[in-house]
Amino acid sequence: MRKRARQEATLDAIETVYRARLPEFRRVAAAIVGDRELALDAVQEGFALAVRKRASFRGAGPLDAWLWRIVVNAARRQLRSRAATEPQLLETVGAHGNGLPDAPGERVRVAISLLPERQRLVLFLRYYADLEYHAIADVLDISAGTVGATLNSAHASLRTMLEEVRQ
Amino acid sequence: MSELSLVRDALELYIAPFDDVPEAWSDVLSRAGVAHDRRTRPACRRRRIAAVVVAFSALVALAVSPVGGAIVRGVGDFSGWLSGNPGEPASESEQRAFDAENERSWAGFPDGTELRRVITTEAAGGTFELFGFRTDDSLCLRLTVKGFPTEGPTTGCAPLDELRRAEAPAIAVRLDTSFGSHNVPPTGEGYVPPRASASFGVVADGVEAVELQTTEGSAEAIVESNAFLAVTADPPLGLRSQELTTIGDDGERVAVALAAAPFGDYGPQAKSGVAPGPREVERRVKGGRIGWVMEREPRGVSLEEAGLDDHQVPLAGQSEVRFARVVQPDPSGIRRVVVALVYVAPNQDPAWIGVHGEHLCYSVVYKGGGGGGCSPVDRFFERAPFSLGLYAEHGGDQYVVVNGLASDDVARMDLYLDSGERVAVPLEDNAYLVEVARTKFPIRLVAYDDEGRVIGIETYGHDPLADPGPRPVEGKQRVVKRVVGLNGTEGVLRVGPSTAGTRCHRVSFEGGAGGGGCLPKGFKIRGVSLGVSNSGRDSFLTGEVSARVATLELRFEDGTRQVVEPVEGAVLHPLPIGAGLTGGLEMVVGYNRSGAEVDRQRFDRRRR
Repeated sequence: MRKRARQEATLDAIETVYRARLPEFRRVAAAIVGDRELALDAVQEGFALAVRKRASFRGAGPLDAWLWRIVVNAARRQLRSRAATEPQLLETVGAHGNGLPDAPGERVRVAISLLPERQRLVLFLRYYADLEYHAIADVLDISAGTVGATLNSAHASLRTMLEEVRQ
Repeated sequence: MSELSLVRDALELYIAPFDDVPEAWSDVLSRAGVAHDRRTRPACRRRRIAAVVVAFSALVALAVSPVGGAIVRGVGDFSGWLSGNPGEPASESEQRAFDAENERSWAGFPDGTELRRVITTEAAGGTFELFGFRTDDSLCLRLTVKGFPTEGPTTGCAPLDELRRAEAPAIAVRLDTSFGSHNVPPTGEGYVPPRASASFGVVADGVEAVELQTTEGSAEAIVESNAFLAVTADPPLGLRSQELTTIGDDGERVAVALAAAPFGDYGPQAKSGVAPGPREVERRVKGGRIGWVMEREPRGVSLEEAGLDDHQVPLAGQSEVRFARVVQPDPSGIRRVVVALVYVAPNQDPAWIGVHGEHLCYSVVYKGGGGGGCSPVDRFFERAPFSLGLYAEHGGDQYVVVNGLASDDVARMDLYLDSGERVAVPLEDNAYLVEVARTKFPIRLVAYDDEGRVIGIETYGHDPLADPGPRPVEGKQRVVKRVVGLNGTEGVLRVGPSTAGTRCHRVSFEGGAGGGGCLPKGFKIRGVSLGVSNSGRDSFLTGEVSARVATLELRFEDGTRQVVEPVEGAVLHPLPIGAGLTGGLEMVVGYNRSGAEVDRQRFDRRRR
């Protein structure tokens, strides 16, 4: 059984995690929301919520996991608040732009969006946040074994879909 | 390739790292309602990004000016421009020329607009004259040049509200606009050095001198009649103004932030951020519509009454214009908006639409053009109860116009700026328009219903003329291929490194069109990643392939095949004419040096 040092969610402790892991928090949030600017907002909102609710942190698990859970949930709320599709404006004169399609990006976007939510979350937390299985388990409130199985499924699904799209 | 490696590559492509977005812990505390005086971190975000930066003194005290703005102590305000008449009246011939040009414009300045001459100077063999004039909502500066063939005047404007609210003692209006060109061959990137470049703006009372810090060092501007003008003769290519310093009559120096003009791929690089303002939608609305448009109610004026025609309707020529009216969101402004319903028939089917049926369109009408767009009527407000568009007329403009249409659900809109300002957005007949200083991005646009609930939020995270991503390293982009389409359109392919250490490719076509980009850090192209670009009357296969791809086989629907070799991982190849939008291309197959297939990509002839 893993032993965890009991932590307190002090303002300083939360700030320390924020400053140490901010790029990872933002990247995971962006992966969930699908929008970099909304992701910045989600992370800020998540940490603001953590600051407000810090007294409710009981130290039963690591502070990091508690913060990850809050930020992931903030990003999921942000995602729900978005409409399902992108804006349909077809032409914007004067906007900066890259005139060529980004086919690989589109493939990956489609493939990842087709994964079940849990598989996506596990993937994002594993690769963007570099969390170990037990840490992901803490964040998502599932067992480490489930994390491993979910990750394997995500790998297999992603590979299949990317290959299919490539055909 | 292993499964793990494939997943890692895919995720690298999915979301690029956030390497350069600054922390905002004070914003967290602010959102949480926690006082944050326990740190001596750099003031607040608003102060850090605000336009005024103190150069020498440690602290600048702010005082409220008679016109409502907070102007730095030691200088006055902009009342000279807000209520006075700086300079001297323009000559009759100058005024007549302005009136005549104004009359010809689609959306001219108001009749009777009086020009004031504020600065005249000689440079680069020409005479530069700066004129100023006010409209109901804008202060505009117009720079004319005599002695340069084929150079018309250039006009830039700033909202009068910006002058009223200004904290800085100077407001740049337009930077680094070029005049004339030297008779020398273009550079590898296709640029020819101008004979002169000019930057201009207005200054508050008490400003005695203005220095521009440019990419080539410091340059002193001429300051007269509450305006400044800096003209550089024979500037080096890509000369850009980056900051401005005013010197008051008491000797105080104040640095003023500028939004630099882009130059090719090498312009300013934006930092992303989070705009202030509401973060949560309080009421969700669906199925947004604009009733008066759907019911063909004749609001505003007709195109004809506005002196316009179908050309101002997006998709005109590719659709049937069924209804179009011209409205004016801000009665005191000079910009108008065309709102239209168009029908795209199946046989019109432009590749970049792919959707037949009725579209809701709008376009901003202004002297220098404008922005706009179309979307299927039932999907226009799918994402939010308003659309969001931006445009600028010139890369050196310090203001962009944020514009769009709002559904009937929207009662009012507010714009939240990074400076902390909250601006009421002019909204009339479901169209809105508002000018925003580029130095005040990120922005947040918020729509409210008639009970004051937030029903839509859109954000724009950085200066829209400055891309935050990796960009080509200047001087390192090489022309690797030139082709000519069967209808004569020339295309050029350049390849080189990016500022992130990745690879960039760019295609440019005769006439100015083009595209390309730089790969995000850590990402490599897998297989083939190609598209069809149309320019002039020609189509080209463009894009990138992985390093493993040595040859490409192009398979056409008539059974013919072509073999193309990528150049340094990039592709530019002219396609046949008259065989659909993809030139009849059905599939591209990539092979490695051993002839084994690496990847293949299908092409839908209806879509690029």
